Amino acid sequence: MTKISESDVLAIVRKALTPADQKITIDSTSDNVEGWDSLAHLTILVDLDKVFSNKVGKINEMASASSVKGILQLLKDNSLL
Amino acid sequence: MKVSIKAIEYYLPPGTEDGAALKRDNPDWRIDDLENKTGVQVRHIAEPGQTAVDMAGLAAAKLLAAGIPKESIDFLVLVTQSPDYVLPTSACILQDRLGLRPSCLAFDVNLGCSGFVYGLAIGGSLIEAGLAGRGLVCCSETYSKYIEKTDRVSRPLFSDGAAVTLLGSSGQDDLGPFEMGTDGSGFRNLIVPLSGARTASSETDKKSLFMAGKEVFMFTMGKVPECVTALLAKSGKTIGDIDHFIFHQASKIVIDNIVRRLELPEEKVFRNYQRIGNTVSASIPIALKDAVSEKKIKKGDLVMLIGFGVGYSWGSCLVKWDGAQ
Repeated sequence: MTKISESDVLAIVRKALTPADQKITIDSTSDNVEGWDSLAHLTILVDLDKVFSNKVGKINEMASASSVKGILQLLKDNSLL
Repeated sequence: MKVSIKAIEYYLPPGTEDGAALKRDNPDWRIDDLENKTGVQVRHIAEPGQTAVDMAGLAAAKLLAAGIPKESIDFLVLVTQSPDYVLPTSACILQDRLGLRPSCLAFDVNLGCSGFVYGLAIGGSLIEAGLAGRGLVCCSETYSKYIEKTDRVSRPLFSDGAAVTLLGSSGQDDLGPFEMGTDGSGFRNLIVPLSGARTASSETDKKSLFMAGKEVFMFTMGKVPECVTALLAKSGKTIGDIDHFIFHQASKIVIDNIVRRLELPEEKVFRNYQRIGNTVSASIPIALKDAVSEKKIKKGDLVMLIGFGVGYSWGSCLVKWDGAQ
């Protein structure tokens, strides 16, 4: 499996949002980014699951991870980053 | 089980809502985005005062009108979570409405999107055990009555409808095996909280559905592929042996994700949520009927049915299609 980096995860979050091409940083959350709603979050979950070979679907806490930091932490906690 | 599906009929209320209707009530909603994710373009909405019993009655009348003697119906299972009353049992009202004989068993099953598979298991078991010769599995829901107009999670998905399936004995094993399960720890994630005996009666006037969409999505992502894989193992089949997969028509993103995880060939997966929406327990029999009508499912085809959702509850089974229309 290709090594996935933190910047790849940021790109996945950025791609899921409408409007597109927003600046996403480590401090981005669903509260301070336009369009990070529940539908966008589903897209983030699906795209993470794809790049991490179906392992993200087993991390139930991902459903409520509404910040980049939270997502990265869960990925690290589950030895995916 | 030496049981087969003999006929399916369904009823959809004529009233519909599309993206324009959602936009009128909620100008800030991005309808294109919603439709791209859910896949749902049109939903059917029951009239005020039109209930699950009413809709199931219309679907059943259509089925019985095709030459099925009412006297031959030994059981009526009504799968619904929108009963006419907390009590009596809605199936009893439906038995009387249809004029089925008093010796007919009639009872409700309070399950949602997994309910059709459970209904087949229950009805099939009654026949297999010799307790019945033939009977009806009715799935009917009016979730729209529980959904607020401003609910962006549930309103774009759920649709009202009823399907009635006639089960009867068969000379061969046309139904099963089954793989079913429950995880009640997820009960709060899809719930009408102010309902039933848990809530003080003064609070039960406002029966609004709550769905934790992200949590329910995670459940579907993990459990549904497991359920499919377990049924394949139990039946000694591979994906290649199955001619068609009929999933509960939850939404585009849910089915896309399951198909991706299982690496299913898209041509084996039937979808009709675009024009019908998510009709809860009725979605699988409606999809099955449509797939047969469109000649995608033919006599002798092996079909896997997979229901999943509220509870959490899930179930899958195999059906050897015996040629019913």
